[in-house]
Amino acid sequence: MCTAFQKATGIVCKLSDNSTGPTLAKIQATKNNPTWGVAWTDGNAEYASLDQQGMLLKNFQPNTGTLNSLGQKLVPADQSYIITGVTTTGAFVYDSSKVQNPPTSWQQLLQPQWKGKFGMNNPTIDGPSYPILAGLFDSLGGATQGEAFMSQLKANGMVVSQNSIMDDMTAGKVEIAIGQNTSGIGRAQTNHNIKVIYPNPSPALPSVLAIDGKASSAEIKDAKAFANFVYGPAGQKAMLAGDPTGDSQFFPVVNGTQAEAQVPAESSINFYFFDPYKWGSLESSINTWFSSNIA
Amino acid sequence: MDRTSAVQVDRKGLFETASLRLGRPLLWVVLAVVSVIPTVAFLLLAFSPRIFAQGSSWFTLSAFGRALSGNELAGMRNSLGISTAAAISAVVLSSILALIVQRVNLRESRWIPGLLWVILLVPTYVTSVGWNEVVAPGSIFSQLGLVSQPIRNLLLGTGGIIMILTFTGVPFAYFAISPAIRGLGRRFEEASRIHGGSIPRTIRIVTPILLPAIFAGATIVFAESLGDFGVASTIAANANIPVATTNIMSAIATFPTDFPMAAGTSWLLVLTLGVVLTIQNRMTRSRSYGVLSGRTAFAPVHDLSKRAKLAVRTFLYLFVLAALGVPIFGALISTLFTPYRSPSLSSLTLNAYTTLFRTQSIGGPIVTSLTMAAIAATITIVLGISIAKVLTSPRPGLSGKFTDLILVTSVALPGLVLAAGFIFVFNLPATIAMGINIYGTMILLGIGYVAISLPSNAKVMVGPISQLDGSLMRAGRIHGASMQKAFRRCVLPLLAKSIVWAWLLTFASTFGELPTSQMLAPTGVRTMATAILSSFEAANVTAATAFSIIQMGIVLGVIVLVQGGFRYLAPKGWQTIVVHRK
Repeated sequence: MCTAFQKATGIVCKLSDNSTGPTLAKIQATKNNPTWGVAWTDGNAEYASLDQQGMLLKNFQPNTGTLNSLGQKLVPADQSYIITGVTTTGAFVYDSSKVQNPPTSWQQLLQPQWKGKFGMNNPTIDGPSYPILAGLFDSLGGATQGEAFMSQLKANGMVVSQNSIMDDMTAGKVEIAIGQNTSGIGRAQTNHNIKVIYPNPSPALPSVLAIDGKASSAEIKDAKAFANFVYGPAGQKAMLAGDPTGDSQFFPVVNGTQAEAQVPAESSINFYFFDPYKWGSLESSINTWFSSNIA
Repeated sequence: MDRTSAVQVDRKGLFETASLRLGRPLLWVVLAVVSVIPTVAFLLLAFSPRIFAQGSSWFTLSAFGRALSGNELAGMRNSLGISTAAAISAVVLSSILALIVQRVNLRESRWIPGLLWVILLVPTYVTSVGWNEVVAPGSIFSQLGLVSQPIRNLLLGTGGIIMILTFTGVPFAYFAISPAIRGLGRRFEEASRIHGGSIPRTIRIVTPILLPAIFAGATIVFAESLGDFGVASTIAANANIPVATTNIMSAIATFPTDFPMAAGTSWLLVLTLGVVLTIQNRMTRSRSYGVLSGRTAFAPVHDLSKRAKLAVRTFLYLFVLAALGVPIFGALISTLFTPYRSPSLSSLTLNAYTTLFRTQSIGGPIVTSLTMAAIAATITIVLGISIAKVLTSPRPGLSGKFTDLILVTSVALPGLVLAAGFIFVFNLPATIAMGINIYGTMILLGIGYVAISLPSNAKVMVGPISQLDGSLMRAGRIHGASMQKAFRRCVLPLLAKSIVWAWLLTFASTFGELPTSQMLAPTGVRTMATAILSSFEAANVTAATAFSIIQMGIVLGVIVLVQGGFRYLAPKGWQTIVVHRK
């Protein structure tokens, strides 16, 4: 994307090689004197927190594309960040050559037949795992109810991986890996037995782009040009081509963009949208609870 | 002497006096910039989050409340237990190795010092991955029935963590203890035996004489183990064993970022090291341990009986196998077979390597890391020798002890802490207003690399430098050599081999350094470590391990190149000088 943008506009674009955690840590550490320009990672809870700290540029959305109904549901009221695509977290990924009748709902994971055969990543290690908790807890009525359900899953032997539950599933340590749907779709490209189930609810995990609110006007101008490029045809094409076994397998939010063939129809998914401003502020305490009681 | 040469001599004398007088203060300034200021800045966050805009309080102790509860407290407890066990085991193992090298006439014993340097060069991450690959369910060894469940539980749990940290710690302990054992000679053992002391009683008599060296070795292994991240992020994380470093990592690198709590946990590490150093100082100061004198006779080398030789050889080979052979073999084999399939000839593949080269450009990261590691290692070795000289001074004074405290605590703090400290200090508007605008540049990344490797480098150089007699420089000066010439002709030949190895140690650790690269590399710059992490995050564990193997191969290539260059280019005398034993 960075290369395509630079080629199209002549604006110099440098890409950080960091993962989400260290990227956000650097943004947080440089709060006094931000140097980041544009941030683009998965998850809106983090950006809700940055917005609450007054770090993001508000009231801007790209004008080179219009949002579809899925995207419109995720735009914050103050337009402090930009939705570029949606994936789901909390998908059940399994190997159909080993599992013939997989669970299709969260409640089924409590059945004795799945005891010790399913697992998820620890959200304190893996960023996309927190939205599983946030979405599930919210759908159940709150943190108390969610924690009770998690305790039930633990009682039924839920495995918590500190590295990659998807790798654990591939290695046969668990039969059902609960995680981001794109990981399952990516693996399915090299192993056609890998399948993805979207339970109800399937918490939505948007891909989010934000602009540094304290940047100079010249930097903000370039950052806006980048956001506009992403929403434009060339940007959408680059998004779909950039990472065929991972991030490119998203549900588009810009009208006119077609999802990759492996991505199921949007209408077949029971997306669940939680309030990132409410659940973002609870991330630390819920993660701590999870580490102490479930992991 | 004519007037011109007299003036030249005076100028030379002035230069030497100035460099002698300015040397130490300059060293403090460097230490302050690369270590003290960023560390203190980070630690301040535990009390005052608002100072760097990380919270609303100017003064609070709430970070300590969080650091002393739940998972954080459990992590601290585990770290202390594991590090203590690793320190004790490393001291015992390194003492045995030192005795074998110095007292036993065995061909293999000559390889031990070089072997220990190789152990130092292998990152704990690679050792952990290697052991994991060997004993994991589904590995070749497991399928052949060589790994039982109890062994697996032991090695992929606390036992394995202690074992790997012990092996990593043995070189540090060896370099601290070996000179002391050499200086001890045999006279105390002989005195005890002549007066009827049994072997256990003799050990009880002699061991206390070595206490300063044993404490020094144990302290550095303890600190290294506390600050380790390689084993913590692999075996400990997989086994759900929280340790202080992973808790700090989690507080910093997982949103919502909690720098104050990471600082609180870091304080606990610093205080722990402070207590350990205080106990060490009190115990070593309470009595005299002076054993070296003009009459000190080094212990003779013994020929062992056949059975004893076999026992010693078995011990040495088992040590090499466990510390290097098994983990490197494991890491290598994991990249050569199709993952998650039964190992067989048909599953043999180079896919991990071809994927790596196909999916990303690795030339850029390799060149960047090679350049930065070479520069950082060269600067570090100069600083490391200077600091080791201060630490081995007969009268180190308060500043020497303070330097020691800074170094040991720096070892115990994860690299991420120092890197975050650099951001807080060098990205401050006030710092930039002073004209120091190096955040986001390769200069700060280089300073970060030096800061991370300096403590270990200085500690490793303490051993060789402590063996130097101060009269060497004086002898050179009396015979008319300038300070630089006296150092070059009288001291450098004795230190050359150690300097080359210490340079390689820093090169290897910097080449694969991750946390500093993540936090301080300028946007758009990829290093070896961040590229490996990218492979890992692209859900390609084998490609990441393959990248690690390539990394080790490059380091090995540099070792061969540098050691080859030393052998062919350095003066013959530098290579043949050894401490003679009679």
